[in-house]
Amino acid sequence: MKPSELQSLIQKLIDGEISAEEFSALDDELARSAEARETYRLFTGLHSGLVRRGEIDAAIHSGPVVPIDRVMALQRRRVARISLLASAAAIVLTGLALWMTMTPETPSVFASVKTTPGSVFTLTHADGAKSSTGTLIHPGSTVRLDHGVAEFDLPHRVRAVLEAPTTMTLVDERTVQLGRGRGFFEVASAEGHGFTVETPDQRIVDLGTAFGVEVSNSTGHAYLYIVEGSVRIDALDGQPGPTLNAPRSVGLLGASVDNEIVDSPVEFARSLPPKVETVFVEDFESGLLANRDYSVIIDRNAVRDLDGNRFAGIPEKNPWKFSTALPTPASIEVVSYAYDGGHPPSDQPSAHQPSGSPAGLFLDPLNSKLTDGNPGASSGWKSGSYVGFGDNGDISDPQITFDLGEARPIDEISCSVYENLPHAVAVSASMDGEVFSVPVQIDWEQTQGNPTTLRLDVSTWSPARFWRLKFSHPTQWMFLGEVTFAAPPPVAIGDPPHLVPDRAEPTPDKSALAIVSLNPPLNSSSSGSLGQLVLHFNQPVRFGTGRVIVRTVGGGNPSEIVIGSQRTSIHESDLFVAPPMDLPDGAKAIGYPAAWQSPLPVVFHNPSGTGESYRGDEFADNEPARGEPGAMKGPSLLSLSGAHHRHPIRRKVGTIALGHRYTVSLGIGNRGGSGRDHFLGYDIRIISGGTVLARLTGDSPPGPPGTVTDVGLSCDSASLPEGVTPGDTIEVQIAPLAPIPPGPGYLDIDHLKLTRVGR
Amino acid sequence: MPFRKRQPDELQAYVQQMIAHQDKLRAFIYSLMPGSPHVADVLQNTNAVLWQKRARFAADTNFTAWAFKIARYQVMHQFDRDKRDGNLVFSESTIERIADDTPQDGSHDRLLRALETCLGKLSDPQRSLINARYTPGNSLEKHAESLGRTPGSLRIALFRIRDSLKRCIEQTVAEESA
Repeated sequence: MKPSELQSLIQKLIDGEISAEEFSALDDELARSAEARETYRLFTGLHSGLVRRGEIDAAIHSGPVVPIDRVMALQRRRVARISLLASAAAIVLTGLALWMTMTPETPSVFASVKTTPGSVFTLTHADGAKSSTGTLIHPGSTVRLDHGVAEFDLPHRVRAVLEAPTTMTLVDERTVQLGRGRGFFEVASAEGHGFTVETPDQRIVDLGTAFGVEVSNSTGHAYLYIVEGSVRIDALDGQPGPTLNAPRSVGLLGASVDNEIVDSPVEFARSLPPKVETVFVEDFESGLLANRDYSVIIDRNAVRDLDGNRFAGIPEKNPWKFSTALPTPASIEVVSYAYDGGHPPSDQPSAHQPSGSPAGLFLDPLNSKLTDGNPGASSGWKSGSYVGFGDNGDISDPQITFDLGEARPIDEISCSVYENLPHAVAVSASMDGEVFSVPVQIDWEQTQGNPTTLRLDVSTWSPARFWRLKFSHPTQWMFLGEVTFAAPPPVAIGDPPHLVPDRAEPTPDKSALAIVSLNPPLNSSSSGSLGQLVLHFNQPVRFGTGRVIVRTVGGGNPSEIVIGSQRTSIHESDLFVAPPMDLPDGAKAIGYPAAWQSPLPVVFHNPSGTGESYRGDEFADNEPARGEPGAMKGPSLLSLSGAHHRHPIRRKVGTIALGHRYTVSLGIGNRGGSGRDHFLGYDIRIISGGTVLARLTGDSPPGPPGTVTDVGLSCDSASLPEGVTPGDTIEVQIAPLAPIPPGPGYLDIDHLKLTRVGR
Repeated sequence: MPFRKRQPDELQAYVQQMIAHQDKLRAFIYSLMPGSPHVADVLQNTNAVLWQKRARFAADTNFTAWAFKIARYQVMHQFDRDKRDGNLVFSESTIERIADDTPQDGSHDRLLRALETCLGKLSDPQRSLINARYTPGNSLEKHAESLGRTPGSLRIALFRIRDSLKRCIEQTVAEESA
């Protein structure tokens, strides 16, 4: 049977329109051919999925509120959006109810919870179990809301509405603990008086009221917004504090008012909004590898113009080739320098020999570099640019101070060092008189008398004006030359790089669909990349049918990307293609994340769970674990580490809509190690233009060792800073936290999600 | 096998398994009786039997295999009724092969996830056609009337959409697992 005939019969069967004769033919074919059964399985799976989806849609339109038991039961599954609304069969829920009545030790129902569809949260009970027992929330239960809004009906007619990201624990029937985040509390009856919200530094006691509380995710400081009635602020030990009356908004410090909040509009959700919209999701699973030669071909007809005219494609015999480089840091000029070692520097080149004297510092007037002239030309040194130190009895730990003119960020200091006698020498760098130092040791054994280039990685240091190199134990003679300070590569921020016409031949027929430019450009070698392919056409385009085939020269299997799949997108005249990273389990690769502004390459890492870090079977990619524990999605993590630390990755993810609250969650990994596995901390910002709308920092991992755990932050378009208005762009920026003291380390991230909730 | 009273946490795990298997079970039942109006009944009966037999399930054995076995019996029961009513049913050997070929891993979840992605690629008219076919209360006929087209022409369009969804799903799943 031909495939087309088979498919037609299967579809007729699905729609109940198959004839007896056709049915019999199909039955025979399915019994006979495994291939036919595979096609059949796909169609029926598709059909089943669509039926289910239709039922879900019908359920959504019948009301915005989804009972939490359904949500809980289904949320744990990975098919988040579908699962959230899937209909767990009624019999299962009956089963649950039966079980509850069968087990007398089950605590009684304490509070009922509803959430807005699309909310993401977990519920943990006092015994540590992450339970799906629906509305059974009792003392000790903690709700962690990552996205969306949840409403609690508590005893004594107390109502609480939480907005993500928020963590709240029910302590007893009159007390909740708000660890972080925001909630609106309404006490509708006199018997509810005394209801208490415990924050990290105080207890907020209701005296008949409605109020909002916000606990800063970063600092733990609490802010109180009294809408009606009055509340009392008690100390954590219960010592009564001041009573405040509505309307009043204050920042709290222990059991007292720290500051009044005036002219700052703050809105709390007081009921469940109809839905949570997902604005942007990123799993960091695609991009371009650094330092590779790429070759790309595109099928004919993969793209069409709006009239349906076809694009001729990029053929195999003339592929789009480009290379991705590792970026080279730019050099910084030294304005002046000083020598401190007992001998004044000289500004005259000298012709001294390594074995001679005196010690000193010499300037090469031609290139403004430190030099001793040509100390070792006879022994094969390249000429020029060396400074010599000698020990004639009164030098200890000589130092050279470099003045850069202004405080500059430095990635790396490199210097050529020559030790002409078998003694070890150590070089260390420090900045602006501070004590941080990066010692580097060289041994005679290693150099064998040849000049050695030392590279000091100082990328994690703050910008500084004065840098000092210090040399320990330079016995007899030691030479230092060609000291350079490398600046970080320029940070590319803003729109994609200007698309330079290169491939286009002016076409006689203006209406013919043609490429105007490619990015990365044809035959280019580019550092700093958006990690994706951009084809800029001479007119607006839409998807045709076909594939983009991306090869790395000498690499593994080519990636075939289907036009129209989630890895492709079109914006007006531009086609964007994000090649999959596809790392095998346990592998790491340096590359650029697709569509992110990343001036320096990052590390893609697919932990297998068997390494030094991330131990555990759940990181292995085989079924059923899928290698995606905790907040991970997809097999790989993105690591920002080492030299890349000061440079954030950033991306535009949408525009600000009027009257919405935006929430970002991001998974952060904890390798649980030390040394190179030192956790650098995180600095996540929601920004618009250059203005920070929300920022979350942390210097320790949010979850235990070997886990990936979500952190969250939010901002509200009702309270935008001056200069930012609805319609402006929203960007997300992620960087390790500037560490002090500096050192190597990592920040592993995964699964960024941005949602918004309308008021 | 002797009955024994299950501990609450075992029961909870069992219920969780039941919930977690709903989609897989439904897809499995659909694959054995597509186009039948009785899929929901069979799924419900399967759940009822799963619940009745909870005490017989050994916690460390394969729940999927257990649930599929029960579902298959329920499908066969329904087939007996369908045969009596003169409805078309697959031969036993076909049923057996389809059931044996049905993967018990996470592949249906991957399919559902890919389906979401692929639905996102549809044009608005294509999506409304899918909604007309699959949302309870709607129908192709109603939709055809509102568009001023014949149900037959929409049916052909629906075939094509399903076909492109199938290809997109294959591609997406292959990309994911590549």
